[in-house]
Amino acid sequence: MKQSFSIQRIRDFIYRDTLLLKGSLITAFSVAAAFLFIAIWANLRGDYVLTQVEYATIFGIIFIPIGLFLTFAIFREANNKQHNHFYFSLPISPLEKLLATWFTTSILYTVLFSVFAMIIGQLAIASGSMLSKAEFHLLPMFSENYWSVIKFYIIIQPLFLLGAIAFNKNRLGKTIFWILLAVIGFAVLNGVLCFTVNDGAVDMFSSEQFDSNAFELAIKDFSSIGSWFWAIILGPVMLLAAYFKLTEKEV
Amino acid sequence: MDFDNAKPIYLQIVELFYENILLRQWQEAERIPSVREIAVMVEVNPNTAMRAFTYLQEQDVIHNKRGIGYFVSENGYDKVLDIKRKEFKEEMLPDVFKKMKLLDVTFEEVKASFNDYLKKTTHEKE
Amino acid sequence: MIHINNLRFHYPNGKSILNDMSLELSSGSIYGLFGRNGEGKSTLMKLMAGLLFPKAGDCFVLEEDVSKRSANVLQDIFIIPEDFELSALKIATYEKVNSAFYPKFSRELFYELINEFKLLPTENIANLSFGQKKKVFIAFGIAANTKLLLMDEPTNGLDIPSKSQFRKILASTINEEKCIIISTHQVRDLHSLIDHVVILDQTKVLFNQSLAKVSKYLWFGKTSQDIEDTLIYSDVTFGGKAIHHRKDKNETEVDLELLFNAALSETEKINNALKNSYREAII
Repeated sequence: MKQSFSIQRIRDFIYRDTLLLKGSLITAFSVAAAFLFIAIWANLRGDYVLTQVEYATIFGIIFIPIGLFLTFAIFREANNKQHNHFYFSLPISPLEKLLATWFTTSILYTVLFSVFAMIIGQLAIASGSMLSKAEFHLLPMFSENYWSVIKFYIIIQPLFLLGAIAFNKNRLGKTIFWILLAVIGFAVLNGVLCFTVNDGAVDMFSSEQFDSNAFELAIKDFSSIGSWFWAIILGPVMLLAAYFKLTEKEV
Repeated sequence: MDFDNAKPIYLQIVELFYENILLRQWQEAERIPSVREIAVMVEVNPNTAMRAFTYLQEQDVIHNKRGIGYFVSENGYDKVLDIKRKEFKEEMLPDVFKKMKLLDVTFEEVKASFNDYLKKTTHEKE
Repeated sequence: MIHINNLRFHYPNGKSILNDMSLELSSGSIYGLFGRNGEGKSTLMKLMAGLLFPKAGDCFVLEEDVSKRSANVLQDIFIIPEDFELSALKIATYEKVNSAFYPKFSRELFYELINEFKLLPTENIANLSFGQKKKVFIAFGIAANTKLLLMDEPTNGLDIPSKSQFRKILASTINEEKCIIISTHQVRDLHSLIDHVVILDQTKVLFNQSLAKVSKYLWFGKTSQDIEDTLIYSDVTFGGKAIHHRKDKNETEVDLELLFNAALSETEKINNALKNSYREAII
């Protein structure tokens, strides 16, 4: 009899979230459409072709900020003193709520935005080919670079999800502040570790050797084993933290 | 319904029932509204309305047919008439007598007033 | 329905609002929750809805710890706070996206009430006045058919005809399974509906009695000299109104304002009068 977890409720909540976000979605997607058009046209001017890397870069520049904006917008109700009583008394458990919200802002958003960008991008190329010497070609959508943008977004998004629920005022500012603090902390820790391991022999801030080696290593790490590590640690841990925040939040 | 503060609300509802029965708006053996209908009508808690129904049942003015509802008793009209007459004699008249004595009003004067009243009301009816 | 045991609550860095407070409420009643400003009525309601968590002690609703916020319990709780905003949606959209979460929600009843309140399902909530928003929220809360309905100052902002409609709606919705708790200072608006009174004062439950019992043992009326010995409380500012032991006098309607004032200033006398009568009754 006891239904402690219900997919139906999650579905209902995703539907509810999307409808409540309707205004923000329309604004965000209009901005994105304008940006994509302008950026792709500008790009076509030089070589008359939109390469995979170029598209992925343009896509990433607009996809990630809008995703994070929506991540904050979706918790507006939970953080508003006059709305939050309804948000927290709605019969859906904190776990279901979090899963629904995460799904909406990461998976659903990624799919919707990708399709949207594909349509707008293709339109931009088509119109560009009519107005300039550029030839009509298919949008180079699913490149390796595209997938790294998506991967990057999926990995860092839970961090902002946590920030959006954890802080009350100036949520974006506080989240970025804490991320910067964490990154700096990591860098210092890294430096200290590096210094100890190398027995104090490396002057890490001036040595060319360090610059090239360590930096390359770090990038490689992040792209292979490192990224998996981050994906496993950052995403789920942040989601777990967001779950606890949601559980203990009062009106 | 406006309630006066002195009398419990359930007894004011009872009065409403008496009035309906005396005015023949509710006929004998006829079904009357349910507890909830009365509660909604006069804007009271159904528990309060229930007290009125219980009270009237104890007076044999209404009775409950299980699963169907409440009905005015076969001799409901006479019952109410008895109750109200008794109330008039025992509660209202003593007050009137007290005032008559205090203000030195004779019974003849009252009788004359009463006859005037009767004339007036019968004229109005014609 | 509700079991509160030794509950303690205070806001961050604030004074104690509720302290070692216990209360049992059962279904089938409309409770009036009274108290002076700032005595914790709204706080208590939010605790009952799982919107706030006790600092100590616990609050069980339908046998479950409400602070766990399990969907099962929340399905049977609806709270209408005094101050609120609703999402800027059309009334019909608002119903559509939110009613799915309440398994016992009656769409038929919702639209009937919306119609009775002279609103249109196509109207956008953003364009409504506060009183109209309140009507939408009340309609939704009633239609949700929850076992527990908590309302903080529900008649605030309602126009005169709506207050009467509101009373009719409450009278038709309450049943043996439901418990309705109303906090209000507008005693006159709702006194014919409340059948149980709970008064909060100085972090505790000061008074907790059914009105049937109060009217059975206490007599409300004008002070007169010949019954001075039965006097419990009299309030000069109320034009000589007083509360007496009822003994064999005719039953009177409970004057809630008088009862409230008496409970605050003559707590012990009032509570003893009801307790002693109880003893007399069982002997």
